[in-house]
Parts: sequence; structure tokens; C-alpha cells
Amino acid sequence: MIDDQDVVMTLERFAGLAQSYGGRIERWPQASRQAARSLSTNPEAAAVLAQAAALDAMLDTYSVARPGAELTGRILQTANARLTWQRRLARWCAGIGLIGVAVLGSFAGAMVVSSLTAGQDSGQTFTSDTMTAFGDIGHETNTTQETR
Amino acid sequence: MALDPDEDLLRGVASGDPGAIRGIITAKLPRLLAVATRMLGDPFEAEDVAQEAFVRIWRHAGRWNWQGARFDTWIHRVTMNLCYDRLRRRRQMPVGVPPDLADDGPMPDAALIPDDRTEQDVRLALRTIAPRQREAIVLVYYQGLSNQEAAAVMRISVDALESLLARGRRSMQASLLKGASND
Repeated sequence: MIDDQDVVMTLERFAGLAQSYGGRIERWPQASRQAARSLSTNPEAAAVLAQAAALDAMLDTYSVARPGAELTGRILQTANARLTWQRRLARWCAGIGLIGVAVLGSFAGAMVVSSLTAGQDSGQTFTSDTMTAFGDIGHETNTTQETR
Repeated sequence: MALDPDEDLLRGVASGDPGAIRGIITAKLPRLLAVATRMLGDPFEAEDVAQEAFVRIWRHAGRWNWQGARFDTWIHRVTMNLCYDRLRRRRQMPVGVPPDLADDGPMPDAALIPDDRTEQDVRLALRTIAPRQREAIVLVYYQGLSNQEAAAVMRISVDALESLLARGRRSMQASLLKGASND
């Protein structure tokens, strides 16, 4: 970063800055301001500033009215239209996601059933009427005894 | 802390926060409307440009690259491009823009502009100068952008910007003096 005190300000550079940025030194580039203020007491520099300030005064007369409520409303509508579209897209994506989850869930379920069925097909037989795919659950009476 | 002063607002816009949307309109619309009005000299066209600039904001808010240009620089560039599109349609500017050369011209003459120049005179004078000079004056003088920000918007060096500013102000002064002599 340039230190203000390091900037050497010549009258030529001073005039160039005034021609570019106008007659108010506070609107000049930060790095040039301090040196410019020091030089501004010079009569030639002061004359350059006065001339630039005269044009500034003219430029300042050109004001632009603040935006009206109608324009603000129109712009808000474009934002709402965009948001509505984004929300629809988000809902659509969420719907696609749910369908995907459902499909994957069905597929996983089918795989589980398939693997269990495969065990059954391998010749495994139930030796009693209490035998299940998860083992022998025993008779109700046995179960009752065990819990006592 | 956000490095770009508009970062929080833009993130809110991206998430669809109504407060952020109103906030960015309040913060940027007057500035963008002022840019377009002074560039085009037509308040109705300027409103259309400002509205289109906001459509671009809504479109880009969600995928803004915070490592790149500042948001304010970007939206000024967008607005300027929209203005140039309109100016081209009016056939008011040549297809190619001449390169920006260093300004080696003499000091401006000492003639002072009469005090009776009006806002209308200034508006007309601004319309008569070259669009790139007008752009430089609008960005630096009226919008208050720093020389580096304005140079970034215009994609030129600071030296080239200063040259455009000096030539633009000289042209304005000449135009206003000419208007005075015709009165």
C-alpha cells in the first residue's frame, strides 16, 4: 500500500488529478490526497481547483429521481416469479428423490426376500411345526416355562 | 466477517429470504437506476435496464463466486453492458471502440462556465460526449466508485480511466460553453 507521505505531487500531476476527478480533493485517489492538500495553497493549484469546481457545480445539478413504487413492485414480481420457479424445481427434485428412495427400498426388500427364499430352496427343511426361518420358536408351553 | 459488503445480503437472496430481496432492491436500485438514466438519458429505458439487471441478480445469486469480483463491481458491469446494448440498438455508437490512449492534451482553457447552465444543459452535454467518457464520469463522479473499482468495471487501467475522465470533463466543459455562446 502506498503511504500518502511518499507521493510526490507536482503541479502538473495536481492539474491532471483535478481534470480527472474534479475540484474536491476528498474525491481524489486516497494516496494522493495529503500531498495534494499541501500543494493546494499554491495560487496556481488553487486556480486549477476553482476551475474544476466550477464544472463540478454544473455536474451536480444533474440529479436522478429515486425509483418509484411501481418500478420497485415490478422488480419484486420478477424476484417472486424466480422464487416460485425455484420452489417448484425443489419440490420436483424432492419428488424425484422420494420416488428414488421408494424404488431403492423396494429393491432392497426384494433382495432380502430373495436371499431368504434362496436359503429355503437349498434343501433346508423344517423338522417341527415350531421351526421358522429364524429358528425353532418352540411350543408355547416351553416358552411359558422359560419365563417363569 | 464478510469481505464483500454485499455478501450477507446476496446469500439471503440466494436462499429466498424476502427481507434480503427487499434489502438488495433498496440498496442497489437507486444506484443502478442512476447509472442507466445518466448513460441513456431516457428514464423509461433506464427503468427497463434496472429491472433486467435485477433479473440477472436473481439468476446469479445462488452461484456467486466470492473469490472473484466484488458484487457491486459486477452489477455495475452488468448494468453498463445492458446500457451499451440499448445504445447499439439506437445506432449511436460505432461498432468498434477506439483504444484508450494516454491524454497528452493541453491544459483546459481558462474559460469558466456561466452560472446559468441548467440541469437540462448538463444532461444534454453528457449525452453528446463519447460513451466511454460518459461511462467513466458516471462511475467515478456520480456513482462515487474509486478509480480502481471504476477501472475494474470498465476493464481498463487506472491511467486509461484518468485519461477518459479528463477528456470527458473537457468535452463537457466545451459543450456547456458552446451552449452558453448559442444562448
